[in-house]
Amino acid sequence: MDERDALGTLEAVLFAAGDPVRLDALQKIFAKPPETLRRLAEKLKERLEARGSGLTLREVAGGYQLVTRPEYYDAIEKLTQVVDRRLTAPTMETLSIIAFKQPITKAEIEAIRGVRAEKALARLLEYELIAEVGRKQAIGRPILYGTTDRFLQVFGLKSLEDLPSLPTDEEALAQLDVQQLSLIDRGRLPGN
Amino acid sequence: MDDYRIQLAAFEGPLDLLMHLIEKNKIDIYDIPIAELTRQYMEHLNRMRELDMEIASSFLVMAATLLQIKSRMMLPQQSKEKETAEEDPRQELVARLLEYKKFQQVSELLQGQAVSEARFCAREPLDLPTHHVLADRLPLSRLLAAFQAVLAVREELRLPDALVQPESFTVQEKMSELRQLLVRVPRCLYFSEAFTSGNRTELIVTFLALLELIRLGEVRVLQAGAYEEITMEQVRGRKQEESQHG
Repeated sequence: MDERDALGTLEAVLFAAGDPVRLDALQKIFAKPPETLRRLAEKLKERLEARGSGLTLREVAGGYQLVTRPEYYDAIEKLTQVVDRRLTAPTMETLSIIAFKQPITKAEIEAIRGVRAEKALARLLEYELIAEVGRKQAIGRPILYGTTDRFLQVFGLKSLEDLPSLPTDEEALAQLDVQQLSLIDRGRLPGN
Repeated sequence: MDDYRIQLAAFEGPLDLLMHLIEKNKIDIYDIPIAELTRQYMEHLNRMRELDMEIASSFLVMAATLLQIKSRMMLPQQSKEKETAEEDPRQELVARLLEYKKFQQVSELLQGQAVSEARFCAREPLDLPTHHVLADRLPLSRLLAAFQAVLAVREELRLPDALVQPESFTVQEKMSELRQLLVRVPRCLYFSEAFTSGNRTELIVTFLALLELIRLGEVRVLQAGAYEEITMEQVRGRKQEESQHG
């Protein structure tokens, strides 16, 4: 297989797969070392760009995926009814806690958020952003939750190590100050 | 008052309410005036009660926590030394508030990430034709080979010869067991799953039962590809069909 062929094959494979294809799966198809495949993927990405393709290569969830370029999203959007599946703030917070603290039980999530988590968990399970990953060796053997590959895809992460770092105490407080300022700006600070 | 109602309803939990009070009063989180914060917190709960709002138990737990911290703060310090040794009763609350805030922040960040990532569109995986060229009916030799593999595994496990009076198994019994198994398992049943228990005799009877079910057209065996494990599934409404397994 020469390089031209290999590039074509990779493009075809990724097109057919739809989902991200892991490096080990590519290794089975190409019988080539991971380094070569990584270079090949990089080459394909450049090639797509060079020919002004509407597609690009995305490295996500531990694999490579052929996707449309974000700048054409507005056009694609017109093809379909847009359903806003944005998560509500409480659900999103629950998901963040799971992402950073996994594996984690419902009780542990509730301890951090100070409210019950059933609804948020049900929603996240439904969207396949989290899954049951086991049972904690504790009384009642509570279910442990963790994030899924779908979570990585939705948030464009290569792996969990790709998560942004959790804010420090100072950063958390800094945001508090900003909010206070904006409250003053809007004259909403009552009583004084 | 109406305005108030809306604000009250917006609090998702006790930490949310506390955070709001701290922000509203520009409180230094490391030196929380606990008496004042507790007073305002209780005031909110009372308003909620007046408005006949249901108060989640988590709000009451937090109220108790606040009151406990407040009372501990009011206790006279016994000695200078003890004062330094004993931790600030507010410390745990501050830690919880900060952690809560952090996750709030990072979740906003992630939300933003999801919004921009949603602009990448991918296809659904192609329904590749190879998924359909399943060996619908396998030659008997394949089945036998699979069965022998099961037996070989049993052999390796070196099950002790029956110490108890050997039970007798009938093909009929095993057939109904297999039927039940097939109904219970929502997906295809793996070959090895059907042969999990029993000694040599029982395994052989189970295998005969499987062959009988295939003959009757109640069960179909499939193999997704070469060397893949053989699976079996129920055939619905095709009881009379003839099979050609061998």
